[in-house]
Amino acid sequence: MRRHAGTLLALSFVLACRLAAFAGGTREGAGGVQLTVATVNNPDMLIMQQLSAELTAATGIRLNFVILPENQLRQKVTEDVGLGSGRYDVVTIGSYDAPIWGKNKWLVSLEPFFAGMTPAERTVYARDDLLPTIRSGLSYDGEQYALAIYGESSMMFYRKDLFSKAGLSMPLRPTWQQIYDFAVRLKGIENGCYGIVLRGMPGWGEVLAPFNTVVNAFGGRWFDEKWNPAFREPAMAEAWRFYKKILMDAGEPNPTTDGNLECLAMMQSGKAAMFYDATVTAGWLENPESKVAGRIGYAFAPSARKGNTGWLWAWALGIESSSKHRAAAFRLLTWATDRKYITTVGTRFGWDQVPPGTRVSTYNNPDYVAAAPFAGLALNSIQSADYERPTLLPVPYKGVQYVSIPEFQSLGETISQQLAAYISGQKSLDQALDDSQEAALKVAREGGYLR
Amino acid sequence: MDDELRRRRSRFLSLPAILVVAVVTQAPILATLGLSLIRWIVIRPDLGITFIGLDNYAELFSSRDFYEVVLNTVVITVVSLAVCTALGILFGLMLNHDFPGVNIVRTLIISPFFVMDAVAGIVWRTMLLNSSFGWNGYFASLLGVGPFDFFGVHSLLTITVLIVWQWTPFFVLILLAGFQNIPPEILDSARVDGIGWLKELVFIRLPVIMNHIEVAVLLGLIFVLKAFGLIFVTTRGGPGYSSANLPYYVYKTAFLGWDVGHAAAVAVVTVAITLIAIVALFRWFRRRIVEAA
Repeated sequence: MRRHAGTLLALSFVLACRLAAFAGGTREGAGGVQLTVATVNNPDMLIMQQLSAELTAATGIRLNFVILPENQLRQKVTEDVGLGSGRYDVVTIGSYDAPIWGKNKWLVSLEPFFAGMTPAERTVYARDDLLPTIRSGLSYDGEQYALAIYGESSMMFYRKDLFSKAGLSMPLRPTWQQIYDFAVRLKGIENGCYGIVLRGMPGWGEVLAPFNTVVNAFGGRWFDEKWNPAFREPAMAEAWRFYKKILMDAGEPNPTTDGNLECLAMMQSGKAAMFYDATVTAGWLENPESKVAGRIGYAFAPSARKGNTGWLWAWALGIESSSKHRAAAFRLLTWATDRKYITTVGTRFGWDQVPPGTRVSTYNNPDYVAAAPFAGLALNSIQSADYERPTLLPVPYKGVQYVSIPEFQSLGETISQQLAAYISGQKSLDQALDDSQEAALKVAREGGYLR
Repeated sequence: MDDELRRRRSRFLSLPAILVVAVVTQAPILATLGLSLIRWIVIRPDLGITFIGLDNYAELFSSRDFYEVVLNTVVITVVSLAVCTALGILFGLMLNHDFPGVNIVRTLIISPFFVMDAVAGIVWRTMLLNSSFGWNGYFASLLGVGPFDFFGVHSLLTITVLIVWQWTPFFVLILLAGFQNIPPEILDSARVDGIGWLKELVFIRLPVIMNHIEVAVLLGLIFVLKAFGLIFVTTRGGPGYSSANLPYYVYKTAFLGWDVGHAAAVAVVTVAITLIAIVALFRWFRRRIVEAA
């Protein structure tokens, strides 16, 4: 009875959402199917929008792009699939979302579509060419739910000229202790130069991305095998202490306002000697507009007790379960992720604009390798990312820089705020860890994870 | 009898309008009340949707975070309204004089009111107060000191100051109108009696414009309690919950936690707190106005 009463209330809310969405969604036009695509406003997606006329010319499929900033996109699309309003046919989602949404049956499994391909289509698409780690991150229970349009890991960027000036050399696989020592030595080597810049802005997509790789490196974890929160384990405290120490001793001032873009701007403008962030950042640092282009060296994500700590992320296209034009949507997905598309982008927009981290063949292309000197290291980082077993001690979850549970959006935000409170000095380490432990315990209990 | 019948019938004519008003104004509140009684986490469809009575409220009132957020909301609101009122009176008095360029000064003072929350927040966060790119970092380096941590340790203070910056012009506009409407004869008589500037302000000007102050504070209370954009783009309520207010807490619960029931419960409590604050303030003003009369 209680369940029925709740359902009734929720149904009225969902009905309102569906009515609101009635005007949107898929339409049959005179020239064929029109698909509504919700997408993020990054350069790769903007290029796809420009090239979409070719898909329309070849297939008659017309695309209506709804372009949103990343945080709004996740919110809008979650509303759309969660409340079943069916506004979009194809949605751009991250590797965090894809398996969860696949489990919730909000996305259509792509396996039947691949099974239905003709041999010629299979040869052209070359599914085996897709990077296995990225493919694994977009799958649930062995079935793939999205196709990556771009993938990344994380790596260390450093100024070769400043290292040379200080008489230092960066190992290919540095440890966090070495990075700390370098950062302290390099701080102030040029006027106002920071030893290192790291994200400190709260948000699970901001500070937690690099920070979780530090946690993993130091041997920390969010939950133990039985989903008991592990924020009071010594390794976790060590990671928190280290992240604050390196920022305070050699990082940018007041880091809690600096996210990916701010740190990138500091590195690009020559204000920092090192920067640890996404592999895709390499292209922006080598961009002609960057003041440090040609002076950047690359190294793998730093380690501590655990090696191979680089994160794994992808932006991908998936088909909403409510879409009435799934075949056309799958056609769009394969068009935007096949080898021909990558070649088209390379020849039309330049090889440095090619969407990275999706296919092995991209990294075998001499044009791309010439335009991207970091390609080998980036590919190696993506291919070896520990998505399935991200931590030193066993954990019940997947994901390197995130915990692959639906509640992570909220829990990650909360923990990142606790970290920011600790970094800014508003909370002691014990208090921040206690509050984090409490928040994680609430999620483990209410979500039914705790065993 | 005919008149009575006609009057009764005419009442039915207003029924559609009453229905429309009721649906438009009350339906969202009733829906929120209803949603606050269920457990529905959008991103966990496997948990289903269940009626849980007042459990969302019980959980809310047992949460430490909630009390921190309520306290922040009270601090932001009380301090902002007090400072806005004081500055509104000060600038209102200044602008109530004719001097060269008075219209330019008036325009400059009210201009922050016309800047959108999100735009103002981004400008303050990135261009002015950022430690590396903003004026904060620049002046700190000139002085040879470290930049001030506006959005870290002092985030609540910074948010309050930004709200004061944004809403003071609103107070100035209303209070200036009040000062301009004071009959000059009253002030002239007081001056003939030899009253000083301060006494004139406290015993004549302020009591006369008490209705204007009441309007400014009551409307300001509603607007400041609803502040969201500035917080969202500058601190995201953090670090921790140190600069989160109730509207931001609703947003976080609804769109990061996707916990519809819990978010609805916070929203209902927020509305209740707002109504209680408005009624209390309204009564206090009425009493003051009656006493002054």
